[in-house]
Amino acid sequence: MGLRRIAIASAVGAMFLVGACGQATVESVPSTELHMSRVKDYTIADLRAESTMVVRGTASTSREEEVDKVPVTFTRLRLDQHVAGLGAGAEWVEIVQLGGSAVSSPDTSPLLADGDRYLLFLKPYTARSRSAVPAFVITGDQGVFRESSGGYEFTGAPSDELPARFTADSLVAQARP
Amino acid sequence: MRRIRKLAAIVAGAVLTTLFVVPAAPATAAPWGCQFSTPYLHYKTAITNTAAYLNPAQWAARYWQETNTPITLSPVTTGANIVIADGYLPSADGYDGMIRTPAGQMENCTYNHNWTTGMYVWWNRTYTDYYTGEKKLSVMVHELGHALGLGHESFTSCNYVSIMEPKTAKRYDDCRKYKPTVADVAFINQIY
Repeated sequence: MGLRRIAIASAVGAMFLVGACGQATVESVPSTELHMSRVKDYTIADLRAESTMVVRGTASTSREEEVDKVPVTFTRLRLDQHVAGLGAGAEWVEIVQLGGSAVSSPDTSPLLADGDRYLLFLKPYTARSRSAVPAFVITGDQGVFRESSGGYEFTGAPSDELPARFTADSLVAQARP
Repeated sequence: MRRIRKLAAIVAGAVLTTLFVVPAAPATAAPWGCQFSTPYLHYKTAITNTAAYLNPAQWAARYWQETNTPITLSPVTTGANIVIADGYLPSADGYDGMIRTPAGQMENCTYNHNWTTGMYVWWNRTYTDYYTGEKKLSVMVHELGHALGLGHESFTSCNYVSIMEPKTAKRYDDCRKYKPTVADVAFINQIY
């Protein structure tokens, strides 16, 4: 009887163990990782001063490439409003960000999400792009704010300077010179 | 009785010293979870602007080598664990240094917490071409810290800021850190 109990307990234990191990192997693992040294934290004034243009737009499809051995994501953005700076001269632009779906990149801005609306401080992308639309990088990788609940939520690279939330009017007003 | 008084005085002195003289080091977990399986490592330089970057690359490796840890970082031309390079990073703004793990390393790390070879650490010349030699060192010693297994650490006071502070404005401009600190060395000794 005792032996049977031990056998049953062992079998149940083994099943749990196999289940746990199975879960561990199913979990998706990023194939590569990026860690960055940041020049500084940007204030809104820095973002305004260093950006070529500030726009509101809606993120759409994205593609991933390696540029100089670094994984990069290009996301198409439909321009909804030109807020400040030079105009892009196009209805669509591409936003270039470090990282990708199989990359862990905790120091950089999270990739733009398809369908989400953003206010972005932008600089021209200086490398060659195979896209037909103009490409831009996010100023300081911190000039990105996602529309949410009638305001804007900061979604740039980790910052000790920028507040987590802005009202819509306040951010747009600060983005203009 | 005299012995007890003497002991009490020593204990009180130690407590006061701890409270007022030696700032309590904030407890944080710096290691990021992946490291080399051995402290005996080799690095290779892949520098394009040798006049400006070769010397800081060699000194950055030397600063880690000279710490009171088991780490050795010897220069090689093939079979390096770490490649130190300079270049431009057009795909993002605001970064002066980067470490990229090669594809496949993170899977290996997930299973045994070790990576094997080929960490690629990089200066972004868009910014670092305008840095002094010491400031370039601050960036590369930081990136090599990542390669050895350290994650980021952020503190307000320069007393606590380590080479693993993520912002160069804080790490170097404010706090002049360009060598591994006591805290960095302690974390490396935990790992290796």
